[in-house]
Amino acid sequence: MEQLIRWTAAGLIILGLTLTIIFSQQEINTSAAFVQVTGTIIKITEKNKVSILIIQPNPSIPVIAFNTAELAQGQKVTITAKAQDYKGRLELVAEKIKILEEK
Amino acid sequence: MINRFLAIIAGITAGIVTGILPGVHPNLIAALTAATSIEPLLSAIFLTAMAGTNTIIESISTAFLAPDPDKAGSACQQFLREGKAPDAARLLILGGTIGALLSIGAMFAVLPVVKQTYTIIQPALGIILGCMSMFFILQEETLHKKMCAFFIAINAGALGWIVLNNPVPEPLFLLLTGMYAIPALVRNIVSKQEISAQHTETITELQQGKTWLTAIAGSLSAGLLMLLPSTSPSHAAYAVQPVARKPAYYLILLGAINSADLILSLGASYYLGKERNGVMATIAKMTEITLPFAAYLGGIMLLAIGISALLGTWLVSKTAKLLERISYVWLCSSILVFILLLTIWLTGLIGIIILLTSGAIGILCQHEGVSHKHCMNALTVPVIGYFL
Repeated sequence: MEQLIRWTAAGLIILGLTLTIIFSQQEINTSAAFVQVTGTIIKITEKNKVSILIIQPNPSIPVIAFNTAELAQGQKVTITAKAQDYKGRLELVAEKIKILEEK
Repeated sequence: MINRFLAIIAGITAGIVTGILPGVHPNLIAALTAATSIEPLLSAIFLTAMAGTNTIIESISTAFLAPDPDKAGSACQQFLREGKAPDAARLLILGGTIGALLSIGAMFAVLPVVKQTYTIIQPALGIILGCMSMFFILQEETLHKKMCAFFIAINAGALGWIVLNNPVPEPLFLLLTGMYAIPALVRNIVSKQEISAQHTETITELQQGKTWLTAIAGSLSAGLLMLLPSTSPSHAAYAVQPVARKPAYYLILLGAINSADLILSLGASYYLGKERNGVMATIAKMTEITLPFAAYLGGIMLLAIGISALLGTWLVSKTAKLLERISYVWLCSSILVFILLLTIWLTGLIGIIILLTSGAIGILCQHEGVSHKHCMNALTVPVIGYFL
């Protein structure tokens, strides 16, 4: 049994090293897939179980959010969100919302 | 390049710690890593190496402490009583290494099937998961056990719903550690039973053909876990149990499912855009998982699994010798105290309340002799709520 473990472990190490060396030369996109926005909620619109938040100072980029029961206009928040294209317009889909200041 | 090498070493070291200490899960370390300002690439390398190592090294704590009653069933306890816990650990490691090798090939067969099937069943996923929970309740032998299982499923589901829908810190750590690690540690302490001397040499004999057949079944069945969120390796093992009826092969099966689950979850993050575990979810938040990057992380994962398998077989004998010198009850008590202190540090009073509640559900499960699969309703019920 131990011999079989050693053989398979050796196979894994060789395969792992090969993949690691080959793909370490590839361009790896580690630019954050998520962006962070801090601002004040100036408008909340409920639509089909989601909320659309408008944040000052970037009111032209809507933030789509779920579970917004604790949110209210006037609150200062930091939103971690994923940027996506929606019908040719940039929008953010909130992953995490942290309330910094109540209104 | 040196930084990446150091990240792998740090990941393997962290994986050894999380593997040896029951209750300390890689998801917890992933959450703590996400809160730091370490470069995303290095964090991803660290977490991948840690997850790979943990999958193999946790075989040791599973074999010697039997912290997860469902994961290795009664097989580990049987091996422990017979003084063959080192063999149980080696069987889990063997399953893990073969499963990791096979899952590379299985990925190309399983993931396209999962993608197609998921598209079809997604509208009914909530109902399917609900039926699955009921199926496992009805699988209990007697009416009393069926009723206990139903009671446990309802309570676990309610607790999971409350915890996961409120701003509770480290909710998965509290739920899973409470339901799985705490009951086994309490059982080991309360029974005051010191373990018999363990044979450090290999005793169990295996048939090569059956070993590989079991590992293949394990690697393929891990695809079920990609399809059905909130399911555990024991659910997948149930589906292919007929190929591994003997305890030794059952442990190989579980080892294979665990490692295949990890590797397939990496493939699923790229191919399906679905994160199966906390580690992959953290990596996906920090970086964009492209095909070359997934292959790069896959390489690191295989490397970590290979190295930890060699380290693990060495650690198995050392652990057996160490347990001859120290009290088993004292060891379990120390781990329990460590988990309680960690809970207070990370989550405060609310965390202790949740941990004790989930622990009570796990202990009830253990006391009534029903399957710990019902505890997974703590995750299944919120998932059902999401899909319905």
